[in-house]
Amino acid sequence: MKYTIEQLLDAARAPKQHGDIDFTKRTMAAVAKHRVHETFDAALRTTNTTKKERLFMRLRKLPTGVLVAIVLGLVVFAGGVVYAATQYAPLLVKVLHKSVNERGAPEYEIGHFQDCALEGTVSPVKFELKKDAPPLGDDDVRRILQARCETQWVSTFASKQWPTYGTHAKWQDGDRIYYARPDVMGEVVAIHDNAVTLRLGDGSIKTLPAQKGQKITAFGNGEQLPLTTIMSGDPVYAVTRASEIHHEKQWTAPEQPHEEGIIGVVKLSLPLKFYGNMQNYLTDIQECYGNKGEYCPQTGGIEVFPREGGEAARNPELHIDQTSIGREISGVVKTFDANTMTIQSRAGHVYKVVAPANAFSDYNQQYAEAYGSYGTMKVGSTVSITYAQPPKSDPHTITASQIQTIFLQLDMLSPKQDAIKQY
Amino acid sequence: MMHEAKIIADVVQGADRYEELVVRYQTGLIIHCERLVGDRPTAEDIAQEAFVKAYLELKKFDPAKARFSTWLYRIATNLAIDHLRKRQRHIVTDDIESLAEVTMPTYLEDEEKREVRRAVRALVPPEYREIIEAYYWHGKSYQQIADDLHIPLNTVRTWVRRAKLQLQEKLA
Repeated sequence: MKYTIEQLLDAARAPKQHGDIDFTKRTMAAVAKHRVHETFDAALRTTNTTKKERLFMRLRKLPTGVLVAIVLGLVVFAGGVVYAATQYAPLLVKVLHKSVNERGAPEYEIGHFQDCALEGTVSPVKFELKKDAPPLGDDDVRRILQARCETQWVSTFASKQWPTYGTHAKWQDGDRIYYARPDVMGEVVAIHDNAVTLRLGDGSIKTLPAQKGQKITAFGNGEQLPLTTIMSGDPVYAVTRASEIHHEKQWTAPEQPHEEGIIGVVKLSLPLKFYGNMQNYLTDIQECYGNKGEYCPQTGGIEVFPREGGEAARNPELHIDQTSIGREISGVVKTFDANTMTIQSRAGHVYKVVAPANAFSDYNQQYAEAYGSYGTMKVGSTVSITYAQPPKSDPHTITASQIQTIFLQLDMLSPKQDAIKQY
Repeated sequence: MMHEAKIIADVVQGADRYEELVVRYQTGLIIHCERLVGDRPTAEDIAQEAFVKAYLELKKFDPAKARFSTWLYRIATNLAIDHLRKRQRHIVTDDIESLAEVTMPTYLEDEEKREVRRAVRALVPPEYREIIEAYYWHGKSYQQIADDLHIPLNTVRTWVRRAKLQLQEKLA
């Protein structure tokens, strides 16, 4: 036989046969996260630590909002602030609209942010100020978003200016891939063409050598600058390049990437704090997955259901087939009893959610206490639900066999992450 | 394949179509990874990472040089080897490569696909068809199949093995 049975079965699968919808959703969320937060992720990516694997195994169960918040938290509190770097072309973010949303939180809608997005990505234009954030003036909010925009520009610029692979003549099919840009952000203490010394987010001082054979170049306001114009105290992104290619037949994998070192610095327009923990004060509000016109705050969350059997629990009543469509909805709880709730979405639609018997009462009685004041689900709480909707079913009723996960959404700041440490 | 090349080109141009590729290849890729690393959760993690890496490198992918699926599976295979190396410290790469070959993607003419589907439909008892379709086409894990059918996990394994033997006879 020319092919194995596995290959024949694989090839005979209908191209649009939908497999595990939950996997698709997780994967697309991971892709989206990498599109916007590529370098945040690079900071966590190592080549060989089982700890990291365990971390990712746990993280993959969390919604994107939690992931972003955790990554931000880790980045900010682990010491050096690690970010993408870029040439910043001054593009001013403007707050077009401010309102108080259905969660009672200030909400900002901005213009031009899409222009700041990485190529091929869709950026949110709505942001919510978290309940636990300190009072912020509108201009502070604008500057936080400006910093976010700038960060994304940096990432795009750095990828183009110093491509990791694009011009590699050695690139061949099947070559293994390593890439990383664990860029570092800090205030300049000293800079020379062969090294830059930075004060990092935690106050520590770190000297970063240039990549071997390279001289550090500087950029600012969209132009290359003489290194002498970068002054002590200037906030900069230091662009690190760390890359290697292993050919298909060479399986030795060094612990650290080759060609690591600083290749450029980009002068930033705002004080360092706006690129660091202040980013954590705002929650993205994105269109819900699979629900056009509905918006889902990307906050952290506590898994309300399913809970039986631990964090990787699966709704035993879940039924998904290839005709089901994966969806997400978020809303404020209007009524609930032991296993049924109604929620009102941001678009004003009321959804009836019927979970398996005692799902909500069990959660409140058995699990909520572990999360302190955050944990109890009640009228007024915000929940997000991922579910699979069969064709021709009522779009505003989510039954027990459709529910993948129900999350109690939190307003989570990094210093107050206790609520999710329970995971 | 022209259609797939268009999807890739569209994604590179910024279109939000990568999910179509994920949907098309996820089931096979997870099975491929599961074969290499031996457990489903790790296989899903590796498959997911492979999709992310492929996405990030898609601009560098040259459809003239290789099929997307071959490239994607290669990325996943390398990630699986890395994973095994970390876990076991010493692995025999040739063995892994042999394992990987069994599930590397291939392409069939429409008539050949129909023949495979006919053979699956003809499996007896009908439960064999159900589990083969569930695992290879619907993306369910052995555990999920066991749960769905209320049978022990080892029974699923046994039925899959027997079903494949039947298929081997029908398709030889």
